[in-house]
Amino acid sequence: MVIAYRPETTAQAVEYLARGDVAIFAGGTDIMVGDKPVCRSFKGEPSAMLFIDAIDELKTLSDNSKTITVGAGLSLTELENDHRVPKLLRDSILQVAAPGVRNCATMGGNVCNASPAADTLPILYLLDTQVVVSSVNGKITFPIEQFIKGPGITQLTSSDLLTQLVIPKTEFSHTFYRKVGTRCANALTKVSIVGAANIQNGLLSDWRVAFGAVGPTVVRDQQIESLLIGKPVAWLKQHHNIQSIIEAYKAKISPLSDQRSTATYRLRTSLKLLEKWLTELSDG
Amino acid sequence: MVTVNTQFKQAEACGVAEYVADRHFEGQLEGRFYRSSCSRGVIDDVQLPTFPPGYHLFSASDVPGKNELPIVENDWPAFADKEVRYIGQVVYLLVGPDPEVLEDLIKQIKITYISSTPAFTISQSQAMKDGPICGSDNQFDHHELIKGDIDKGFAEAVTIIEDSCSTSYQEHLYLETQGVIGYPKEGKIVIEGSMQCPWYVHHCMSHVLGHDKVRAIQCTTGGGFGGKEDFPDVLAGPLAVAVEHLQLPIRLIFNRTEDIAFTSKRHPVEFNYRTGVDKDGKIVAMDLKLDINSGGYFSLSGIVLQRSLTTCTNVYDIPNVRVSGTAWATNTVPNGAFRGFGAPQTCFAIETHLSHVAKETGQDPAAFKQAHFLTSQSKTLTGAEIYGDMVLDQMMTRADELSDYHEKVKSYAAQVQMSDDKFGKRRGIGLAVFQHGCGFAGDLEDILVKAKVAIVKDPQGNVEILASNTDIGQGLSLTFCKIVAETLDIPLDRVHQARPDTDKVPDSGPTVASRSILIVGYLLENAAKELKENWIEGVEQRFEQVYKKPDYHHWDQQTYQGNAYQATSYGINVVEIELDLVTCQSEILGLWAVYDVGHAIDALVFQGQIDGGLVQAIGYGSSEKLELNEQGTFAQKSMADYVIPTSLDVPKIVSSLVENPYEFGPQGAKGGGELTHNGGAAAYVAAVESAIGVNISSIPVTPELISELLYGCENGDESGGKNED
Repeated sequence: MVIAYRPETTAQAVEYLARGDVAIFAGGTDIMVGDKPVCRSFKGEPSAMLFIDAIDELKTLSDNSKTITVGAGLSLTELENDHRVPKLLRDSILQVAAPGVRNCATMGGNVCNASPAADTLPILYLLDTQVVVSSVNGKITFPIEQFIKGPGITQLTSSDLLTQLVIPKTEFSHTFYRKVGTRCANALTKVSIVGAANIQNGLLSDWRVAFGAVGPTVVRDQQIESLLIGKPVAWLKQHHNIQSIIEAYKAKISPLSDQRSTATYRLRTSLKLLEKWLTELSDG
Repeated sequence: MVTVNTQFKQAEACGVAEYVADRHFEGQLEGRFYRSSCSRGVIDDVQLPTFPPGYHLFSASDVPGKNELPIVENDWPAFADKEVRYIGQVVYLLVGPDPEVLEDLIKQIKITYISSTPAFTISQSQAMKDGPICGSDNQFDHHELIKGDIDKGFAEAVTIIEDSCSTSYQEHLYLETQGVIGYPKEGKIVIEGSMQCPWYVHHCMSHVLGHDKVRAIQCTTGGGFGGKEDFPDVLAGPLAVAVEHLQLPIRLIFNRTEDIAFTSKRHPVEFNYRTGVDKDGKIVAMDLKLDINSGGYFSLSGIVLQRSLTTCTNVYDIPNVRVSGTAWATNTVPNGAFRGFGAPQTCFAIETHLSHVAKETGQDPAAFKQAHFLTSQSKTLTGAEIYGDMVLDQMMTRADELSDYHEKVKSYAAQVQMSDDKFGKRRGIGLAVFQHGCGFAGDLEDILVKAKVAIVKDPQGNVEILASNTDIGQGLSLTFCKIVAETLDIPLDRVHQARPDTDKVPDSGPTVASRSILIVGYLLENAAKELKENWIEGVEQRFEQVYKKPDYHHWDQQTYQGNAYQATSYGINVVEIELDLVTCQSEILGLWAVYDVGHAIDALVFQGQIDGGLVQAIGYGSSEKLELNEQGTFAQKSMADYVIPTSLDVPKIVSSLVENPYEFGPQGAKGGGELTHNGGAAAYVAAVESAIGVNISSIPVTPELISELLYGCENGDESGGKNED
């Protein structure tokens, strides 16, 4: 028999975690998939399950003038319905699985699962999201690109609980989001791309792009982004300039062939989508 | 008269129906298969763990009767004895109370094999590396069929076009996985389960056990699509052995991973055409070679091959034809029955090939096809007179009216070139014409099946249908009841169908091959007529009917001459798509369907068949990718990997039926369930071809394939497209 803990505060939760050999159960939509429940943080079976659904602190959403703070226990549906959440993130949530799954799946779970194909991750990368992790030793904050280390691998130790995501409030004049799934609904991602830009007085004052499912983690490269930022939009009118950006990303993207798609298709399609977006931007 | 049966599917809809996984017996044990991990080899050495008390292992040596599954040929062993032919082949059945202990025991079993080079594809089978898998040449079956004079035909041709097409596997993905439960009762071994053909399971148990004290009962079944025709034998054979030995109830239920990996699939087929067209643009000769990948055992491949051969020219009157077909042994899961049974493959190939021939000879595909339609005066490929009226021209007119096909063909041909709008979208429209022979091939209904039904009226005037045909979600029970109620002119709720239980119902044959309505429904109608004429109030009455083929029906199995099927149904599908040139994904904008099924007994039930069959066919043509990996097992392992369309992937289907009553079907009905799967893939492919202007020769046509066709020639150089300046 497995021990089940169901604390009501984060403080209690991290105390249980500190005892070791405890698996965190949030929405359960990844743990419960398959013929047997599988928990990524455990190879074998944990001796205790920690249910975090009764912790109200994990279900709050607050904002100030600079950031929005999202509790890790909020369901994807709750985020989708809250208009303080950036539209790009809400758009991506609408393409995750089916309503029933979105009602259970939590934002924290989506991040901790750290799937390269997770639909919300490219958006969180693009928006410079910070991840807040609690343990009995206190809180640590990571930029999301440092928090996620590889497929299913994060900075989280067995005594840590992801409690919040802090998303900077950023306004963009131009955004672009495409998920290429296997079908319209309930589809896993083959390739996804999210882009955001600000154009002020004909200059690209901000420009960002992130790709999902084309490598072990989300691909975002601020060095390449800086090549564009500050340039006039007209710079994109030159086709070879667009090509140089595409070439730069081509070197960063390393998709795999698997049972859902091919590396060739993933690479070609993600770059074509990037080209499409850059071409759209060049038209203002 | 009441025409709506409010109780129909009520239990399933409300979640109270008992599927096999819901059945429970006191002291019930669980069963798990130990499967071969070698795709081709001979068992060399076996190391078994010590079994705890209450845990048992069954193998070939425990079989009291014959260690064979009696599926057409008896080549498929219930338990692998010495030889294994595919990964996943059943070697042992483990039985015990705790499934986790069983899983643990399975992990401890060690078998070493002397393996030889496996063949997974047709060309590997033909190469016969390390010798044949079966017989002397790896051919399970081979047959040739000739109409007219092929040499004379080609002599008249001014253009000869060679073309090849291929189809891949398709997974049934019924909602309920395979499962059976067995127990002893009143001196018999009883198996209940999710199944299409209880009498098949009955015969299988009897063959394996060596006696006839057996009984098979169908549980509420969550879909079959052919996957529960032959395959339940694979579970029932070994299970019957264990139940008889232990005299205890045992349950054997596959999880989804196991079901996708090891149950039968639709046969992949390769087609090679050589077609001659004369100076008037008419086909004068067609030489066709088709090769079927059968998998490790013969199973139903011979009958799939027969349907593929006898229907290979589809609805077309081609004067000189030679078709040669072979079913090849390979080292994969044996392929089996799947809605359409060879016809969806054949229809995809001929429709796609004829579109290519039309384009090559400068003709409009639809008009070219129409110019070759069989008419009431034609003879079929197998030399039979056409029985009844051909209404294909009428159907074509209707399909065009519904879909505006011809106008859209013109307008899409004038779309901007891709080089002008490489980030845009292009539209396409495609059409496929198809047929389906109803009932068993040739005269097997007469010489093999000899279907028998009974109807029983109780003293209160309620009528029970006794037939072994199963409702597996297709609505058969309602349609059967309607046939009987309408014939008797009594309310629908006074008629019901008895549960298919081989202790109770006569063998009216299997629920396969679009025979349930045409063959069994007609017997029920005749039995009901007999009851009506002899109706006596207040007493129990029973009337039986046995199949007798219509006088016009002739067939020679040696020469393949005569009526290849008792009756044939027809259909036309039109698919309109919009293709995104960036992602190569297509959105289906319109789906239209016109059918000649004689007469639909219940138009809503048939609408269900149309919706399901057409969407399943669209999936077959577009997204349902099932690939073998290097080990010869499937790369796609879950419902997340194997992509069937959902309701959001298709628009509402607009369909229309042409009344063309058939004399020897109930109320004039012919078969319809399989028919609805035959044309969708071909129509979808034609629509994609119309959008991108490139010929396609294999399915499924995934975005990956379209992307290769459109951009593969960019030398893998993503930076410079062919249309760049």
